[in-house]
Amino acid sequence: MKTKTLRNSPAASCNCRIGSEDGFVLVLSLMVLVVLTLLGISATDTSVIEVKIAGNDNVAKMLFYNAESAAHEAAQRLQNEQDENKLKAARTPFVWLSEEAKTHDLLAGGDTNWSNTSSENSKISSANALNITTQLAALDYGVVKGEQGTSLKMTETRVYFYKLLGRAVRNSREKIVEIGYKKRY
Amino acid sequence: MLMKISNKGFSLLEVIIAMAIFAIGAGGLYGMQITSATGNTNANQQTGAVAAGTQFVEFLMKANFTNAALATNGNPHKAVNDFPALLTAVQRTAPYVSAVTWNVTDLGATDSEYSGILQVDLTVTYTQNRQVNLSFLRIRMI
Repeated sequence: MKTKTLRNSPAASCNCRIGSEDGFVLVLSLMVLVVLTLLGISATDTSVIEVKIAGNDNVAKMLFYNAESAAHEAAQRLQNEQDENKLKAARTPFVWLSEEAKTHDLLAGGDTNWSNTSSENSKISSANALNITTQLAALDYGVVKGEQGTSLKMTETRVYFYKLLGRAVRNSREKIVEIGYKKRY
Repeated sequence: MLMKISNKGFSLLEVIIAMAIFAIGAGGLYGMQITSATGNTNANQQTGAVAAGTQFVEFLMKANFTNAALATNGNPHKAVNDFPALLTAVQRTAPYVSAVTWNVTDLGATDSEYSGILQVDLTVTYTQNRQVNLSFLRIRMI
């Protein structure tokens, strides 16, 4: 009597399943699935990073325009002020206008340096609903020489030099914009 | 009489089960890919919309302070009316940008210390009414 041979593989004689091709299609499809899953995960990963980049880019641009606006606001407010004395850091009523020599390291940023004694909130903050804090500050460098090469003469009009700073913060991310401003009397 | 049972090739049942499992897995992965592609598209369009917004911000920065585009009585200003050429140029590279509008507020209206300062709140509308906002101050002296 013929015995029922299951398969021709060399392992057929032993009882173990090595060499058995039972379920081979299933194993193959699972392997393909694993490869596809890895591809899918990497695609999702890329996508998540892309979304983060786009969001960050958006926030960075908003912060930059807020900071720039604050510096511009400082410039226009100094421009509007007609009283020469009010534009001297020692006598100014503006808290955001301080002497260059003051200890606040405004360019280094940080909430401590940008406390309310050295800065003021920009008007733009009020309309911004995105939790952005915008501050402005000005550093008074005093009377500088007239135009290039000429020495300071008492008969000439005085030129004051200021550094105007704008700062925008959101979730501890900050941007600082610095512009120079000269005013002649 | 005994028929020879051959296991060569795959049994129908085995293939059907394997295909079913594969189909379920592939369906999930399909969804994953769609999500990923959608996310990429959204990110790309958001970046494009922000870039479009900055173009208009810079245009408004360099425009004359008395330009009609910065008039406080024309709110909301529309790019179609004020800068149609720029809008067309922007839409050539970013066709998903549907509208750019902005409101102008005079901060000096109530407080003379702030005279000559305008706040501009700009909104870029793109795909499916998504929006990005950019706010800035425009001053008279620049």
